[in-house]
This record gives sequence, C-alpha cells and structure tokens, in this order.
Amino acid sequence: MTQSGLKQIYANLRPALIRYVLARGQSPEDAEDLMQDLYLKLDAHDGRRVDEPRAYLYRMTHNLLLDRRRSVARRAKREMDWSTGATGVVSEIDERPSAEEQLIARQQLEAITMALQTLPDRTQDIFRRFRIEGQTQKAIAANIGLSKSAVEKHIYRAYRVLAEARATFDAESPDTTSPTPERHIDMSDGDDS
Amino acid sequence: MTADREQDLLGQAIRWHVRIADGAEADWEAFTAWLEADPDHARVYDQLEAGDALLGDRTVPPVTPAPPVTPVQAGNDNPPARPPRWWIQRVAIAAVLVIAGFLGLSVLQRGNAYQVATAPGQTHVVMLESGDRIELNGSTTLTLDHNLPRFAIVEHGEATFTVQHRPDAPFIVLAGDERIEDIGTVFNVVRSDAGVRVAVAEGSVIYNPGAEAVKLVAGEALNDPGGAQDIAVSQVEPAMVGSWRVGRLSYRDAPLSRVAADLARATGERVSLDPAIGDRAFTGTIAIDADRSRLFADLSALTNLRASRSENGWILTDPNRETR
Repeated sequence: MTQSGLKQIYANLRPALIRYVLARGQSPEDAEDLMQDLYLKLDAHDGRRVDEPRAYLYRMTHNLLLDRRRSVARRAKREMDWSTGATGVVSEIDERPSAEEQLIARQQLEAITMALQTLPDRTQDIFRRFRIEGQTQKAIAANIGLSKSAVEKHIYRAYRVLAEARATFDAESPDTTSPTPERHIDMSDGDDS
Repeated sequence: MTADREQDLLGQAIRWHVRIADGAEADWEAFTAWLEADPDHARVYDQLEAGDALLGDRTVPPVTPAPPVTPVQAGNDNPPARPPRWWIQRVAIAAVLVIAGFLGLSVLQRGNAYQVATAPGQTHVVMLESGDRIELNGSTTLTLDHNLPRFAIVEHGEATFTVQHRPDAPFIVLAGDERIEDIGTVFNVVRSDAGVRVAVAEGSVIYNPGAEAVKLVAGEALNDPGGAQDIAVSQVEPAMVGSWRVGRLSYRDAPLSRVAADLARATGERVSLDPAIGDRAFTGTIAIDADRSRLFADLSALTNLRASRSENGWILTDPNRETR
C-alpha cells in the first residue's frame, strides 16, 4: 500500500469514519479535528503494505479517539488543579501522565490484575495472549487447540471480570482517568431507562 | 437503567470490543450501527474501553520479515515517532504485572504497595507499624503494603524477619512463588537466581503451607533450588542465622558459589568465582571486615583459595588448579 493509495481510500471512506466518530458521542467539530489528525498520520505513513486498508483506517480512527479522550481528561484535571491551587505549574504542552495519575492508574491496574487472577488459568492465559500479546482469536484458537468461539467465551469472561473490577473503583473514588466524565454523571442518575 | 439491562449492554459491548479488535470493514460498520441504535450503547462501551485502556496499548505483534504484515493492530502505532510515553507506561505496567503475579488471589485486594531497596553493601532496617522488624542485607528489594502490615515479598536479595506470632494473623513472606508463614519467630530469607533459602533462628515457620508444607524449627534451614529439584532441609547454628546483620557470614557445608554471592551482597564488591569450584563445600565463619583487603586475605586463608583484585572486582580461584 503506497501512501497516496491509502490517502485515496481515506478520501473515499471519510464519511463512514466521521459517522463512526459521531456514533461514539463526539461533536461534529471534534470529528473534523480527528479526521485532520488522521490525515496527518497518513502523511507520516511509512509506506508499509496494509492488507485491509479500510479496516486499518477504522482502527487508526478508533485509536486516535482513545488517545484524544485520554489527553482531554488529563487537561481537564490539570485545569481543575490549577484553579483549585493544587499545583503551581500547569503545562499546556505536557501531555504525559503526572506522578499522581500514574499512581492511581497503577493502583487501578493492580486491582484489575487481582480480579483477573481469580479466573481459571486457561482463561487468564487466553486473555493474556489476546490482550497483552496481541494475538488474534484465530491464532489463539490454532495455538491451543480450541475453537474460535470457545476462545471468544474465555475472553468474554475476562472482560466481564475486568469491567466489574473497574466499576468498583469508579464507585469508590472520583475518576481521573475516565475520558468522559460527564457520562459518569449519567451513570449515577440511575434509573433512566 | 436497571442493573439487568446494564449487564446485558455490557455483554454486548464486550462482544463488539472483541470483534473489532481484529475487525474487517464490515465489523466496523456493524459496530457503528449498534452504537447509533441507542445512546446507552456508546456510554457502556466507553466505560468498558476506559477499563481496558488501563492495561496499556495492545501489543503490536512483531513484524515478520518481508512482506510486512499485521497492519490491523498497528493502526495507531508509530514507534520511531512517539516512543517515550508509551514505552515508559508499558515498562511500568510490566513491573506491576510481575509483582501482581506473585501475590496470589486473596492477598492484595486494593493495591497500596511500596518497595524498599538497598544498594550493594548497604543494609537497612524497616520497622513496621505492627511492631515487626525486617532487616535488609545489601542488593535487596522488598515489596511491602501499607494495607497489609504482616506481609512482605522478597523480590531478590536477603532479609531477616523478627516478627511476633499472632495465631489469627500469621506473618507471610513471599519469595517468588514460594510462601513462608511464621509461627512466631526470627527467620532469614534469601532469594536469588539459585532459588530460595530460609533459615530459622527462633520459633518456626511453614514453607509453602498450601503445597509442600515444610515445617522448619529453630536451627533448621531449607534450600529450594526451584523447578523440579527437591527441597533440602539442613541444620544451622541458630545464633548464626542472619549473622550478616552483625557483620558475619557463617556456613556449614555451603557451596562456595553461595559464599561468593553472599560476600558480594554484604560488601558491595564484585566477587567472581571460578565456576569449576562453585560446588565445593565450605564450613566456617567470615567476618565482614570494613578493610576489604584484610577481609579477602582472611577469606583466602580460610578457604585455601587465591583472592586477587582486578578491575572487575575480586576473583577467587584455586591456586592448585591453576598450576596444573
């Protein structure tokens, strides 16, 4: 896949990508910004061959959205710290997690890891292959001699446990890592269905 | 929103999350349609994704030699352009996973862990809130937890534990996957590449209560080389257990390789030993003299080895082997 080839496909797929970003709850302006970021990334693309360019562009959009939410959450927190006088220095440029954020993330990660360890070994192994080592379900199925649907069930169970663990510390403490704090207010509204 | 519906939506969100991980274009289109069908879908998915994001970025599988492949996971990854942030995060996460792997299930519910480490040749005493005392030898790292006052992990190195016995709350030490539970006592733990060693000065401990359940009483020591090799129990002089704390290393039929490793830890010097004599047995007591030249001269006399100093630290060899 050449750079220009990928850009052509991008031009073609752009409306669908915007639709995806909007479906994820972003504003039209944010969606445009994100497309701009994506375009710049394509500029920097090193010309590696891409097997499924359209799926690849979706994946890039998806990852950029996640990155963006992380940095928005960080900036919001930093501005809040600034206004409440919690810290003397605010850097607009520095998007790296602060020590405090790293500590919180680390503690949450520990809680999640503990929760995952309550799972059977096989489930842990499959989840590790999928989530940490980045193997595809198909590859995992072939490697350990299970059907793809069985592999999916193990991964599903692990994510259930992960989500439950996260829900507990969401409830315990004000969340600084959530990319969408306003959505958590929705959550605490309780019965809105 | 009822809890049942929330659970149901979470289940759907997980299935989508897994599906798009290796998704084709059609999967992404279907996912978009699902998100559009109900605003709750996006909300639940966001929560799932935020939790998942704590595990760090999904690893990009190593690029196989030509032709380059696996672009799907490579989407947002551009190593030369932006390594620092993700790299650091991944290392931190790897460290946590290693620590967490040691803990077993019930030990740590909510992480509040910290580490205490000593440099080579340095010692350190930790007084825990519980009144228990841990002395760290050089080159030692322990993980402790504020929420778990009667718990320690010996990551590597050597430490002596002086702990009160409480039947309701035994003091638990983990060394790798091995677990040591006190029954009121003073005991010494070493963790190194050569395995785990435990020696008891007072009281008793249980080693791996859930597995081998070896009970050690005062004057007994245990050597667990790890793997499939057997655990060996031997006799020690109780007064000599943890004697590094008073600047002495005491041995009965100990392999020279262990003596050399202990010396390095206690002195902060690099100590190399001719591997051919690593298994040779040594019995005796070495005083950790602040004058290193005198220390190694004494050692040389005790062991009949030649101790020579080089740029790379101290080298212990057998003069008889050399001349042959």
